[in-house]
Amino acid sequence: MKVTINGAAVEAKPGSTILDTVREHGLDTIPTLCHMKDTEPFTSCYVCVVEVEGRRNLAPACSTPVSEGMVVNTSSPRVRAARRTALELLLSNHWADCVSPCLTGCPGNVDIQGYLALAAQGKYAEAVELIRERNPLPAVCGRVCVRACEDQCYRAEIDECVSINWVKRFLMEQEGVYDKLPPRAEPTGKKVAIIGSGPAGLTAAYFLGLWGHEPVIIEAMEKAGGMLRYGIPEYRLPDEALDREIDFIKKASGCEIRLNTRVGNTITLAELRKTHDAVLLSPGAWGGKAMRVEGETDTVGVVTGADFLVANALNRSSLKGTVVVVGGGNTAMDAARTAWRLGADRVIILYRRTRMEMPCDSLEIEEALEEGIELMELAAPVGIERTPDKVLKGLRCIRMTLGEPDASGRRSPIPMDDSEFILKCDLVVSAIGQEPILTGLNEGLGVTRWQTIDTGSDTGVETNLAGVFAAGDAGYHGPTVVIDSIRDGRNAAEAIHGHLTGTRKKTPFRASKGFWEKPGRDLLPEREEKPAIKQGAIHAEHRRSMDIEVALPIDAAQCADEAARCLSCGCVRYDDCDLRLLCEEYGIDMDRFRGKTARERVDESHTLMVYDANKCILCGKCIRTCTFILMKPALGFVGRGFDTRVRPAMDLPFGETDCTGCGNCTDVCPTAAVSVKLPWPGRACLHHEDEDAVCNICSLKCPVTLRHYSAGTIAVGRDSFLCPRGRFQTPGGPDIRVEGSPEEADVIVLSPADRRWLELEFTPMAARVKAAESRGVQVVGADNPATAAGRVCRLTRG
Amino acid sequence: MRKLLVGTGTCGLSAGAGKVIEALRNNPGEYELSGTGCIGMCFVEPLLEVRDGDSRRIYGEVTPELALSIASGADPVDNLVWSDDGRGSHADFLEKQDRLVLRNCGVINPDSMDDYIATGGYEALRMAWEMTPGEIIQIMKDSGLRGRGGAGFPTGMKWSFAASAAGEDKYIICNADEGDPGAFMDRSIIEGDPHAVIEGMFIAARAIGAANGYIYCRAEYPLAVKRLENAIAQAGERGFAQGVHLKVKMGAGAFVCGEETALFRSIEGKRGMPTFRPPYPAEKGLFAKPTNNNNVETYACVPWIVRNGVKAFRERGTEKSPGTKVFALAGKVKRGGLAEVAMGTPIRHLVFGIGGGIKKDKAFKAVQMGGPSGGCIPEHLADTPVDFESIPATGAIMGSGGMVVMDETSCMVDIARFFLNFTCDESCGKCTFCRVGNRRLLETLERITAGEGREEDIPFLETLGRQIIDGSLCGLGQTAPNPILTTLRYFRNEYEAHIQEKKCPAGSCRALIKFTVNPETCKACTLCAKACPVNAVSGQRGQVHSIDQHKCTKCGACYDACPFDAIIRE
Repeated sequence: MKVTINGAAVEAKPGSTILDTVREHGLDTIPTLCHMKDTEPFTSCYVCVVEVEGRRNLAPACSTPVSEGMVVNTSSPRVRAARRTALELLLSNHWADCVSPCLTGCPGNVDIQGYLALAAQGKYAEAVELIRERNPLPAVCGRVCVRACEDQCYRAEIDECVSINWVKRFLMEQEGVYDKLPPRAEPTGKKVAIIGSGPAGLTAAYFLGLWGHEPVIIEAMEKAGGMLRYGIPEYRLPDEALDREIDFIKKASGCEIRLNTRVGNTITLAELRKTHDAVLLSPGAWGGKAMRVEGETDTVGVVTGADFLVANALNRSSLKGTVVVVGGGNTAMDAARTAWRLGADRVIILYRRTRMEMPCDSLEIEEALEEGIELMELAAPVGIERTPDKVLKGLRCIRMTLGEPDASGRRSPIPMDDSEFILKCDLVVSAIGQEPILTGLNEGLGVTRWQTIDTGSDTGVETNLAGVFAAGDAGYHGPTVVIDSIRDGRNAAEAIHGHLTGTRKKTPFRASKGFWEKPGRDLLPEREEKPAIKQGAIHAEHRRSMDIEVALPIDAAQCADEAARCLSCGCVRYDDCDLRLLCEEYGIDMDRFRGKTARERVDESHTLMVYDANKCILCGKCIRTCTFILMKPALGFVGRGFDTRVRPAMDLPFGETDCTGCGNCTDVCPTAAVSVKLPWPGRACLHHEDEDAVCNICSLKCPVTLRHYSAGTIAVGRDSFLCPRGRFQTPGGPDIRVEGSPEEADVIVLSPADRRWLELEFTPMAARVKAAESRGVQVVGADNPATAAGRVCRLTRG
Repeated sequence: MRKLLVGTGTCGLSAGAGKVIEALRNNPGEYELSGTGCIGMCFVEPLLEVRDGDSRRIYGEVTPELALSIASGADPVDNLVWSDDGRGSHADFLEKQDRLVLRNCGVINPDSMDDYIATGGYEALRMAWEMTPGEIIQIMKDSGLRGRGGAGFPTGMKWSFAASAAGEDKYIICNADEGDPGAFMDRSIIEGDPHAVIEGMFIAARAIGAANGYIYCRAEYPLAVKRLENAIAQAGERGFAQGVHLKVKMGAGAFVCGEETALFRSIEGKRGMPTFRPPYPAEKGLFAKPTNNNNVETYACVPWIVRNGVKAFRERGTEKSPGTKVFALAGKVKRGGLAEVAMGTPIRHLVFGIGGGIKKDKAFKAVQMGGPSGGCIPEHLADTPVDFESIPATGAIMGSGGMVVMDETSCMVDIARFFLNFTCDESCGKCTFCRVGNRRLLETLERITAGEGREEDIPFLETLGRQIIDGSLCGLGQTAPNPILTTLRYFRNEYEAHIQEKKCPAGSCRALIKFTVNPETCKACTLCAKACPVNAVSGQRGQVHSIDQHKCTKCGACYDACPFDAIIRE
């Protein structure tokens, strides 16, 4: 039979479908979500539609048989638009998180769920490797990060968010985490000059080096680290920790750091552009903003926060008397607490709003107050009292009151009439903001009206000069936090890599529940309340030294406990979800069909599998597979219209159906609506690697794919059904943890309580338990109150 | 002997015919008493017919007391709706029809096989026994009969496919899963003349060589099911079955089960979900066997055609759509009920000639044809003839015969919303476009009727609507956007008024209307205050009334109650 597909005349087998024919001749990759090889077409997803000449409607390629002389177009604009609409419609009712909300919340997009899972298993080095895939400064962030990730944590709906950052800091203090260098790509011979060795510059250098380029960092100061070293005081970030990170970055990326070299003095931007293939500007924001009071620039005893911190980082001074710090950000906190540590008798933080509105980390305020630092709210400086020879005597201030909220949502301060007063002091540190100093760099460089480098947007990195990029505090957004600079550094590295190699990275598609609404407690997994681990701190009276780090690390047990609190919100099929990958390919717009979504709690009742109805696209593959295996399928369609669902039989919890636990439904599911319950805590990890293998359990030797996650391995069927043993007992499959011995126990306690998992196990341990039971030893569930009696052997699965 | 017939179709019974027949039964007199099917005058049920020798008189809105007095010889002229001497207030309702399928409805006792045989019943089947299957099919082809379920596929051709399909086991199906809101033709045919359907099926079974058949009837039609089962049993006893086993299969009322592939799955005991065609039913239908599936009305036409001949059939209707069509008239029409006319009759004849015009003589705005799959035909196209060519050209479809009449107070956006809401509920949920796409259309219409429409909504409705038609498996999904697309075609200004001016020109969308009292014309009669269910109208007799806008639920009861048109709806 002759048919024409995309202009090519091909021979087609009579009775075959358009999809078969297109695949047989390799003419196109028609996507489909509901079609299963060697089974009757189901025709539900309508992602496979094609245009057939002479037909009014589009035809589903999976079901439409070829006919003599048929003319088919598989990728016309109409076809692509229909496929895109189908995907957008599916996604408009896909209340699911492709990645965990913490990952999305983290500007650096670190796979937090992944490293928490590894941390819970004690795989510290692997956990750190995973962090460094996105962030080469984990020890720094483990101390000073503002933890946007924790703000997004769903666990807060149950009790408290996971203390992600304390786990990270713990990880960075474990042995061996600085030993193994990540693999480096073949050298490309491309040179990149990076101005400034702060977090943005270091991050860019790290990734550029790993990708085969030659980064050179030009640093004006005598040591590398930028504001990490000169802005953040040592009691928060010890030099030793920073040095370790910088050393690692240098070793891993092979980058050179040229110290004591200020661009504009010994070398110019124009020269760098000539001698390098690309230049990254990441000089930071070292200039203190003016308070706009008379005399602030020429009075002895009035300094800016940045200058004060830098000066003391270079050469510690000692202080006496009263120090007034003006401002409410982290720099103000650092300056105040540094002043106290340097010996000031009294330190006052002057802030024009109230503590509620202070932009700094709230923990910083608490610790400062513990140290006896005073907080004077609702007051602002209006003038400087000084001696005729311009030596500071005091700060003239005015009381403020709060008015209406401004554009940022914060209530704006309004001066109160006749409320001026004088604060006697010996040093005023004005820490009300910083700005970049672009002297020596502004040769034709586009600059915003805030004196930052113009890159078009907050996340943009390209400047108006060809081959010149910008990142960090000097970038478009101006001074910000460390993790934002790390994000910029990575973005800049990616842009530079693209610039140097002529490639372009695809933006990953990611659905998130938060697009509609975050889940409340009723829709989150059921967990017992368990508050977060609190990081310890040195008592305030022992803190009065710049060299004593205030925060105390957590220990290994606390780390495991805390990591295990993670709800693992990210999808286990991120890497190979057919739906997500198609959405990425077709560049779908989530907003186009925004409307009502179904929202359900995930069914975790099955010991081996998880059923998440929110991710179901009703392709029916699981039902068809189950119908093939069982006489009475454990899953079926219920309801009508928009409310149609795939449900466990008789609407029972999945674990209480007649499911035999073969798990073949998980192989065919195009998303993760039914998925294997990953047998390790945290159920982590975005990425996996597949390895073809053969099941060795019986003589049939079924083909299996071993799916290696960083946390462990599961078995997946390949081209054929797998039995429960093959799937769940392949090496790396679920295991049983045992406390005590079944041979010596009076009672054997199973957790989870449902004993069917034991029936499905074919391990020697399961045999030992069954033998014990046949001798009369009681086997009970963990929910049985009688478990306390006698010698207990406890079995925990997964 | 005088004969009294009470219309005991579902329409009659729900109007109180049960009590009428009971009263007559309890007071026997000089007459023979019988039930009959629906004669179509649903607007004046319960109906009582008196047959005296050759004369026939039908009385409407009959109470048990009135029935007794009629039985004892009275002739209450006020209640006389039709008589064979031309009297009766609604005599023209029947005169303006051409009753071919409905020939026996309301005339014979549907439970009586003898009644049916007396009208010539089963003669066609006897004739068919003398013919070869090929000859029967040729008659069907020559007659030009087209499927009355809505699509209008030539019946003879369909039969020939099933007849020539390979395989011994073949099935014959009657689709009686009538589901369009406002449609009740099939129910009335079965209730009024079940044997006609069964005879038609026997003829079809002989033509295609089927030994087994199902009548798929919704369980909400218990009377129809009962009459069918009774008729099948009677036909079997009299030897008409000739080895053809017919069975009534009750459906649970899912609209989508009217789609033939879903109907087969339902008979098979599976979830009623359509499957892709090909394979077509003639090749692989019920239980994967060759199957012929026709609608009730189609089968009811078959014996008539065989007995009266192709020529007589073709004398009615048009060249391409011969014969007649039964319509269920409903909505804002004075005489709602069942009407059969020749194909090609203008819509206007149905609405004004038979239907008697619009209730309260309001302005005629449109008819909705084809139910949720159909569309709205505006007043200016009311001269469109009803046939399989002309109706689809308007954007609507013939459908199975539901015709909902709309007047000036019907909001076309709300009508579209109503039908879409129906399809959304009734979608089987299989295809992406139908399951999610229609829901998004509905959400948009809900927003528009709630006064939250946006400028981009109209292009959104059109684009997505077309894509749903393009990307759905079965007729339900492929036609679901029709109510929107046709109302957009003819009543776009109403959509624009809702979106741009936040006004409902028909005064029907509650979120967009407001009731106030016109103090100039208010006579302070308190009727509106009495009608208001939420006590939102204040003012006593002699005191101009006013409406508390916070309490008002915009039900319109005051508007309807005011005899002086002093309630303003805007």
